[in-house]
Amino acid sequence: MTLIRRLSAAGLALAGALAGCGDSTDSEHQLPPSHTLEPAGRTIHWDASAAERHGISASDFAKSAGGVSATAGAPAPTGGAAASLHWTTPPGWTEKPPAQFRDANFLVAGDARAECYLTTLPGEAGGLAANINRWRSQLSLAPLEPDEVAALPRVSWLGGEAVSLDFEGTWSGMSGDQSGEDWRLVGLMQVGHDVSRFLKMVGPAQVIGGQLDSFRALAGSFHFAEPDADAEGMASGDMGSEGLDAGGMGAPAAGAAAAGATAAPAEDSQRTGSLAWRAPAGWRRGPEKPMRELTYFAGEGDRVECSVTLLGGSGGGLLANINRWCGQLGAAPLSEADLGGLEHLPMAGGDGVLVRIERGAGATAPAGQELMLGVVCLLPDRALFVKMTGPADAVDGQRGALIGFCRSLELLP
Amino acid sequence: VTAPRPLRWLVGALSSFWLSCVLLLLLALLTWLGTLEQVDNGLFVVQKKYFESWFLVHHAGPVAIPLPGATLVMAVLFLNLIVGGIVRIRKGASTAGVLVVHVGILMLLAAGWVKAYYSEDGHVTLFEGQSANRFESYNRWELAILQPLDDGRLSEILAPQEDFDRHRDARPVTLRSPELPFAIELSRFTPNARVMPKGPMFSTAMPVVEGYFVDPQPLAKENEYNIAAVYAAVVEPGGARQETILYGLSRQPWTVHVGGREYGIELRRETYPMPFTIQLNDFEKQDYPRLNLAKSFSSAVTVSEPGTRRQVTISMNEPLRQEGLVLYQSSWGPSNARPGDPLFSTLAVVRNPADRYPLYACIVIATGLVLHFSRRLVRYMHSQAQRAA
Repeated sequence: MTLIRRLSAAGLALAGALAGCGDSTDSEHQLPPSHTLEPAGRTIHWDASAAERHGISASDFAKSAGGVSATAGAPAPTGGAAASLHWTTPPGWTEKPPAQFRDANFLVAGDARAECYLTTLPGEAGGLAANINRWRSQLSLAPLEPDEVAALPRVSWLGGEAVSLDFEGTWSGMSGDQSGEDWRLVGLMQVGHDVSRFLKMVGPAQVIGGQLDSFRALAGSFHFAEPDADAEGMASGDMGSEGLDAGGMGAPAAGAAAAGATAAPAEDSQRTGSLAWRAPAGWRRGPEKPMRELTYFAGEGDRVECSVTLLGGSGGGLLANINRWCGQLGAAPLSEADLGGLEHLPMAGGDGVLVRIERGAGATAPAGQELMLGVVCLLPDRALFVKMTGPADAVDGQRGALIGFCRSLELLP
Repeated sequence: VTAPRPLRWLVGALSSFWLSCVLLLLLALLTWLGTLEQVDNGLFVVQKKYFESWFLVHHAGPVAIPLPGATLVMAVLFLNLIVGGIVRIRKGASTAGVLVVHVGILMLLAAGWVKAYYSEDGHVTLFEGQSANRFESYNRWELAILQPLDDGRLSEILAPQEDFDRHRDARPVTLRSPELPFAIELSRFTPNARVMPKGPMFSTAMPVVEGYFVDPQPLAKENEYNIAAVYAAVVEPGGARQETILYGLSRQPWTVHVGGREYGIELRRETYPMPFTIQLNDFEKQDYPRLNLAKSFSSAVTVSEPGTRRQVTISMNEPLRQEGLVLYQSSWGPSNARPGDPLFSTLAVVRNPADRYPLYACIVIATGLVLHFSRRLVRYMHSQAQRAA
């Protein structure tokens, strides 16, 4: 008998033997008996809510996305978390409670059909074009081509660039289950790597058309501010509406790039729960980020970034942290002896050490971080780190401002 | 006495030297194909498909090629080695070494079989100061129904993944226990999912429960990155229902109150008890100079059993072997930790009754080879000496 025949027969025999081993498809199972155990190392919180169990809620979403405060009011916004987003509700509008994916939520001009809300999502949230076309589909409009998206007007908003949108069509609702002839959607869409923001006003065209000024005023009033810096924040809001005017709702203009029109102006004396400081003129507050107490952008755009981090204990020590920064920029590490040559500055009730690190080969830091000015201040129980990165010339140009900023830092009890 | 013809035929087929060659070639082929497919589908899927299967279909572009799985190949190879390499081999001094080698290879195959069907592997992850007396699987899920006892302990009823993971649609599987005053219905098991709060800006085909829904995700290449979710309902005898979503990343169990008692229900990685408690006292990591790359890391732990406590350091090449378990220093985190941040240590835990078999098998094989080739060498030298004479 040939090998092939032998193998075939053996295979058939085995297949036959295995044929009875099918999967059970029953829809009911009896559970095995219980056993008891010591829950070593585990603390169970009984009656945890769904949000606690899943570790995510709509408010978490908003918070992680950009530190949006859910409270606001006219004329003086009420307090929210530090560095939260504040706004001024336009006259005649009614503010509604924040809801899932609605960090600020308004009834427009008392008309139940018209609403306006701000949504903040982490990351790019699907991207600019997809979101624009999602809004268009809600108005039964055809999607825009990429070049048409690129041609949409841009305005300055919340320290960045936003696309200004104004569409009219037949409203089909977010789930396609509504209908309304001659509706209008006016909005701002700011899509970024870390966070994306969507401000949308939608309702009957006749109602929306009469509320464009209010929408601009609301959009311009959004600002990041400390609770005790609200007055200045509101001033920036007034300026912001002018900036938005230039960009125009449905009126694109070259003036859209009225840079800084809506950016929060240099904030003066400020504080969070653990820090107080004075921000230099021209610095703009950036979004909240994990592990950071503060983020600022210095000068134009966001190329020069300054961050403040506060850690417990020694935070790993002076040399280790400086050399960690050196490693990020691909620079040669310092030795203990090198530390003696570094500049010192008094700050936060302690002694800060300033180091200047130039980018070298093998840097792991993002491109554009050519130079770092870092300050390490070791205190008895905490360690404060201030880091400024960006193009070399721009960072060197901000050196004086950085030192002034560091000197202004105070740790609150 | 002559054996019946079918038996003689079967013995002849199983002891065939050619069968050995075909099986070894098939093993090589499966290893090669599995290695190639691992690039796209990850280790877990490939192991299941090529090595823990009896049959499989390999797709070479548009061509589907049926193949025997490595389990079948190794099972037949085991029989082939016994029948051909031990039972039917000529017994004598000249084949003694070969016989020993065959025994060693059989031991290797047996070790693989024991590992495949009787081992448990997983990990225990601890921050400094934390302790655990269980370790959890990397890949398998289970449903746990917990009940707090008056003495601070927990009563636990477990449903293995096989009880519910085939129920991917709305048709539920019902789990019952005489110890529980309710039944549990599980449906829409999703092997990789996010649980998201339902917002007003989108619709979803999945049911929304407590404001959340299951957002199915594509399967990750590496199975340990997949996080399962399942819709669950507790149904009391009177018909009252409580519903929720159970998610593999949930921090706490879902609590239900039935008949005046409190129960916790959770979907979690399958966990296995350890006969001792391990507490992480200190985790130490050393980096290469100028790099944020760990050079070595080790965990100083206390191992507690009733009546005894001992201090042990587990490092990368020095595992802890205790009561059938081996704990290896596996990894640490968080990977983006800054100086001064608390770190956790992950210890890989393996319970493999055949842990040492491969070592013993290699010693046996080496002994057999030494026996065989020594004898050949002696014979060769003897014949050369005779020729010279």
